[in-house]
Amino acid sequence: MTDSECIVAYCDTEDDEAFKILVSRHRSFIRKVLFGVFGGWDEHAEEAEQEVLIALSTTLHRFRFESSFPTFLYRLTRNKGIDQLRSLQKRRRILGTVGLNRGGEGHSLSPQGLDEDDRILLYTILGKLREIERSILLLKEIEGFTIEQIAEMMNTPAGTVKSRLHRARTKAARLAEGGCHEMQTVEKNSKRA
Amino acid sequence: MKCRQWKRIQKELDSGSGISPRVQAHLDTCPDCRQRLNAYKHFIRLFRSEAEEPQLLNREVQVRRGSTRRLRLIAAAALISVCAAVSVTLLAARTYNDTVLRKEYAEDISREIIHGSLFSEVNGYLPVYEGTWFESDTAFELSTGRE
Repeated sequence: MTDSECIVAYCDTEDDEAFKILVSRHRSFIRKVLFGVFGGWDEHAEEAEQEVLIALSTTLHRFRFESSFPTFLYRLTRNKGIDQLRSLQKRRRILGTVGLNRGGEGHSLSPQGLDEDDRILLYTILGKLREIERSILLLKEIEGFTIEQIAEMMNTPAGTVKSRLHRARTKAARLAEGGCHEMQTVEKNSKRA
Repeated sequence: MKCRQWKRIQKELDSGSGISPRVQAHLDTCPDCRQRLNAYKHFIRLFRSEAEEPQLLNREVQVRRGSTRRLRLIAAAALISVCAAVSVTLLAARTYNDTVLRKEYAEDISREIIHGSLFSEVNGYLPVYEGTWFESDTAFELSTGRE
C-alpha cells in the first residue's frame, strides 16, 4: 500500500491497519523532527509524539493531497512540538541545558548511544543552536531534503532557508571546531567540582 | 570563519553532490577550512547517530485514541462552566424576584398615594382627608369630634 492508499483507506473506512502502516512508515521521521525541535529526546518529546499521532488520526481527513504527505506531517509534527514546548513554559531553560543533563540517562534515540564526550559535545552544540537551526540542519543533513523541499515544508522562501542553513552550519562548525574542547573542559571541571 | 572559501564549501554542501576537485584542492591547502569541515562533519555524524532510531521502527504502533489529559481538562472546564452558569442563573433569578417584589410594592404604595392619599391623610388633620381615608374601610358613621 502506498501512503496515498493508506490515507484514503483510513479516511474512507477508518481502516486502523492502514493507519498503523502509515504511522510505522513515518514514525522515524516524526521522531527525528521532534528530536530537532526539542534538541534531544525526553518524556516531553515522547508526549509530543503521542499528540502528533492523535492529531494525525483526527486531521488526516483534511489532507487534500495538495502538498506531499511528508510536508503535511512535518508541519503537524513541528507545530505540535512547539506547542508542547510552549506549554512547558520553560523553553529557554530546556533548550539551553538540553543534553547536558542527559549524559548517562539514555535519552537518545540511538540504541547504541554515544560515548560521554561525544554526547556532551553534541548536546552542547544542539543547546546552542536555535530550534529552527536544528530543524533545518536535521532536514538537510540527516533527512537529505533539498533546500526547495525544506522551503515548501516550512512554508518559507528558499533564500531564507538557505541563509538560515548557512548560518546554522557556520555556527555548528564553529562550536564543533573551537568551543567544544573548552566546553568539554568546563563540563568536566564542573563535574569534578 | 576567516577564509572566504567557506561560502563555496557551503554551496557544495547545499548541492549535496559532494566536494568538487577545486574545493578539495582548497581544503588540501587550507588547514582552517579542513579542520572546520571535519568538525562539522563530526557533529553531523553524532547528530545522525543520536537521531536515528532503527530499533524503534519495529515497535508496535500505539495510538492513544483518546487523549486522557486533554479530555480530563475539557471535562473539568465544562464542569466549572456549568457550575458558574447555574450559580449566575440562581443569583439572577433571586435578584429578579426581589426586583419584582420591590416593584410591586412600590406600585402599591404609589397607587395608594395617588388614589387614596395614604400618607397625606395619615399625616393630615383636615377632616375631609380623614373621612376619605376611613370611608373605604369603615361601614359606620365617623365622628371626628370637631363638628
